[in-house]
Amino acid sequence: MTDSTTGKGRWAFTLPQRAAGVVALGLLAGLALAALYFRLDPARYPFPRCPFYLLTGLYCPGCGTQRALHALLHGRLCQAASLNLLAVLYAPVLVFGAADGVRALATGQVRRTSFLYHPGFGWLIVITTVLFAVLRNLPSALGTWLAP
Amino acid sequence: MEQNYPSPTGMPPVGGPPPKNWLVESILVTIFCCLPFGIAGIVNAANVNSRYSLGDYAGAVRASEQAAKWTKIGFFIWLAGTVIWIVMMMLGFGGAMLSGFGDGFNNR
Repeated sequence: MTDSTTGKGRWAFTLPQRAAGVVALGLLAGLALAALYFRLDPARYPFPRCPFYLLTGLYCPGCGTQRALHALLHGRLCQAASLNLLAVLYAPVLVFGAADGVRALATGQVRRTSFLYHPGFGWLIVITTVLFAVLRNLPSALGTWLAP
Repeated sequence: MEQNYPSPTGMPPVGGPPPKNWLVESILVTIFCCLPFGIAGIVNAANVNSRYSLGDYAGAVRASEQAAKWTKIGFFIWLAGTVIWIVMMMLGFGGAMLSGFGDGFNNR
């Protein structure tokens, strides 16, 4: 931890090289994944299957995420929503969280004051996830649409 | 509701800033890893927020540790499963897996 008292520009000092490495690796991994899912359709290529589904025959909240991501990358929002509504709804939250993390690393100060740390939001996520997991396994028109 | 951290006096509130809640990470595990551990992570993440807003700093730290634990368990099991999957693919079990477990594979 070095203090930027030299006035040589705060970037070089307040941003530890480790943090820069983490951010760079994260961005690279994200881009690689995006390219992979953009190029290959998980519905046709042997991507890893859901172990929970294989074991129980029930859909977990994550089933269909890979195909939904593929549809999203091709701009097919409706198809993505019908494959996994949760993944589509949470995508902006995850992007915001990633941006928040990068900013914390870059500025060297963690300001946990965003809505991600709001108690109401936390429980909203819990309720939404559990409700989604239950509903998509029920034999109804809604369940059929929510299922991947 | 919002803890304005850091406070104007420059002194953090008692107990310091909220501990990491692992909410984003546990959501990722839930929607990508297909395992119930992610939900355990999300519940604990929500608990971090609640405890902190109630002023129970020690409880928030405990919930944070639990959230981290479940999220990591979910992630590493998924990682191991994926590695095993890739190995099986390379060994030529791919076709058997694809035809053996028909899981809504042709829903295009």
